[in-house]
Amino acid sequence: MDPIKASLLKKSRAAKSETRGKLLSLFCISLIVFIVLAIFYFVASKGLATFFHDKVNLGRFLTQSSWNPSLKDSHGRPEVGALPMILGSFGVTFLAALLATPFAIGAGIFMTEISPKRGEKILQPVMELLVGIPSVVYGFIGLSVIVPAVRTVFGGSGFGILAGTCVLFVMILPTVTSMTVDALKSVPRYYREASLALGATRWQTTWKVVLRAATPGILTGVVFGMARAFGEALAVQMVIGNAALLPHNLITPASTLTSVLTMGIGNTVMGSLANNALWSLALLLLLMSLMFNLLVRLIGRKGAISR
Amino acid sequence: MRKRGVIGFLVACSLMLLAGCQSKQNGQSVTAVGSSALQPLIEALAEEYSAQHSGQFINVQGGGSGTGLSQIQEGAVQMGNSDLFAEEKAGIKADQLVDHKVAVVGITPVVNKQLGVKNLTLTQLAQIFSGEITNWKQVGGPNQAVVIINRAQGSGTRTTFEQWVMKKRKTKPAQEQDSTGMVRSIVANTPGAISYLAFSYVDKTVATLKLDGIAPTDATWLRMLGQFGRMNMFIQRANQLV
Amino acid sequence: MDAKKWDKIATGVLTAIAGFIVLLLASLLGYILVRGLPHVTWGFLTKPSQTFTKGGGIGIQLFNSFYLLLLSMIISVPLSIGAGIYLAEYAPKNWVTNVIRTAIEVLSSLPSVVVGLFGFLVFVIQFKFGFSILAGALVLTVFNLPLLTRNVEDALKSIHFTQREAGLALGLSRYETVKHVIIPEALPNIITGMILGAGRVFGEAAALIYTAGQSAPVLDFTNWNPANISSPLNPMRPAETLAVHIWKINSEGIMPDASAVSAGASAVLIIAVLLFNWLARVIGKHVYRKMTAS
Repeated sequence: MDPIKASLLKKSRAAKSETRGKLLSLFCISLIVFIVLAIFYFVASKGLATFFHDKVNLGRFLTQSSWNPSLKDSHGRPEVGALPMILGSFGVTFLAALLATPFAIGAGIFMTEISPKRGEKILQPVMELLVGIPSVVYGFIGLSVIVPAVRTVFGGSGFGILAGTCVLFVMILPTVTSMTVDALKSVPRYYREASLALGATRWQTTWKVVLRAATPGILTGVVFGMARAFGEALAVQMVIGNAALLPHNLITPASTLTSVLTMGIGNTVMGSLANNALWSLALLLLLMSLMFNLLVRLIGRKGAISR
Repeated sequence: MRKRGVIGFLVACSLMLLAGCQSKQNGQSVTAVGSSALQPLIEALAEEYSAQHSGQFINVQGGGSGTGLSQIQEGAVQMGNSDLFAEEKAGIKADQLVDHKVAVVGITPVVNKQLGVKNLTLTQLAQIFSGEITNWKQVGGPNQAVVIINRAQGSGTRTTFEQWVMKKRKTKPAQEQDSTGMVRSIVANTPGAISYLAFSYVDKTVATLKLDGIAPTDATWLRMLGQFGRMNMFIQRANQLV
Repeated sequence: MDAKKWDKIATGVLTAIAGFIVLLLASLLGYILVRGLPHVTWGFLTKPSQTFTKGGGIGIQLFNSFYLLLLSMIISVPLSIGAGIYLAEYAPKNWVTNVIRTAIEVLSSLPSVVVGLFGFLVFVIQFKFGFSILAGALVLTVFNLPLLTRNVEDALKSIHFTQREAGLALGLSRYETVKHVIIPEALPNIITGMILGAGRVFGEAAALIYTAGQSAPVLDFTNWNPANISSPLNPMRPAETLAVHIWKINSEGIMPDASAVSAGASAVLIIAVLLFNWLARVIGKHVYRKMTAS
């Protein structure tokens, strides 16, 4: 009696392997979460030191426009105004998204509605390749092709937000396109059939039915593209000119959070104000990337309700 | 030819230093971190040294003068390279480091080749970088807007340049690049551009300027040594005592 | 018919957009390859680089790139598969899962500079790895994990739920179902995603500048003892990769043929990325055929 009871009460091999497998996968996911938390902790502890340790006013940090961490202004306060970089980052990001969205939607419609076969055979690999091209290479093409082109067309030195926008446009195009395609593909087939059955042309169906239904998904793609543009460093740094000036127009040198960060980090001493101020920029980048993600969530929820 | 001369000189200087400090080092590998301007020089030396002493390696890393100084201060590496004196860098306790001057390098203003301006006074140069002169015709050049290209804040070359040329003047916020090679190619390609370069980076894609009538050649700058840039190498005292 | 005319116009415009994008890629690739390929020779691919003289190659950088990639894939593939299984199969629908998902999304859209600096602070300085392949591989893992995890999760989720029900109905545990039914079915997609991820990692520079370092000491290719410092397999040596090399030559290179070396290296990098994409397709298809035929 007893050995039978014991064997019945004992966990089976399958149950054991189930527990083991679950624990294993739980371990993996917690490791990733731990890494994210660690990154947040490190960047935050360094970035907040500017405000707590060096006593820089957060409001002044976000609204002043002169960036000279090693110098002091007439009141003896360090000149750490991140406004030019913040504006520059948002400028290139929004413009690149504005430019990339119509192209992404166009390519997406072509791939799903007009010619799915050619879309899959040609455009899909093209997008994957565009993602694969390293940002260093994009940067040098920007430097040797786009900057001179901007210079000859608009005058000036060629460096600036316009050149940065052009480079970022190519870099985020695949991200936005592939998410647009996913969104268009997830529109149920009967939507299209119903519209076509009512006598609408393919374009009318696409414009009035499919695109409307896919809007939340497309918006998500655009926000993801913006997140990528916001965080891009090397390629933008090469073409934007890195001048910590408030951008007046699109063709004078400007700067972004990432470009100032990459340029300065090697030239400052850890623990000094100049270095902490750069970490504050990194913290700002991190918070923005969190914001973009929350935005995506919000769009997703809104879209889900309206459907 | 001039370039090779300068490099040869730098190599010779550092070789002596390395020979000196290596005799105290027992470890298998030594890491040197810092100034990217100094990196190729130390790399070449390290290669030569390893070839002569099998089993001993010198790892040379870039990362910038600030990285070099803060890493040596923390004792994370055995050598820190910097093209600034330690006293000039905020947050560095210079008295805890041993300074070895290993090389000297000149800095010269350079302009775009098509510009045609050959000579500037030191004051004119300072006025250009402070934004008082915005067109080349104000200094006898063609009617062409001045495009200033600066090095990154805190870099050795820029600090030295501001110290000796700008004196107390404030530099106008302008385009910045964090590497010499980038600065050179931008000056070479942008009409009306002006910047400054270490001698070893000057080549025929850019035009050098005479300052107060003095041409930047090896002979003149060696005479004026001390008025221009330099590179240092730091070894932490604690590490040397071991 | 107005609507029909509009339909024609729209089709034309959309086709033009698609054509423009293809043209864009073609001109990008053409530009890089035409500029770079003439410099690519066997010697260029195998010789060590030179600092002051011309005729340097990219042999060591090329080896470093592959070795670094291999190490980081060894770490990140099992981790991402585990994490993907959790998200696709076990994760309950509650706020904790939501936070986890947000964390992964944030990690994937994090600027690579920030990841690199984090690696510099933690692996290079805190853990005292120094500028080393190990530090570089760990940073690449951090950089790559969210993308791979998402890819695994998507691949697993695309398997029809009837497969799971069949497995469970046969008396298999949930984990056994995943292991023996779901993963084999999802394998082609997982492999394709992994290879595409590898291509992305191969070209990464910003995250490696401060972790794997910017120098490529001469290696002794006859010494395969990983503990020896001159051995190519030593994970504690600094290793400049191809992408970092391109970045460095263009910013500080003083060899007389810097532009040629950088053009050539860019072409090699692009070819490698092309190769990864092609491999992803071929292997994915092959595995798929094998899996479905058996």
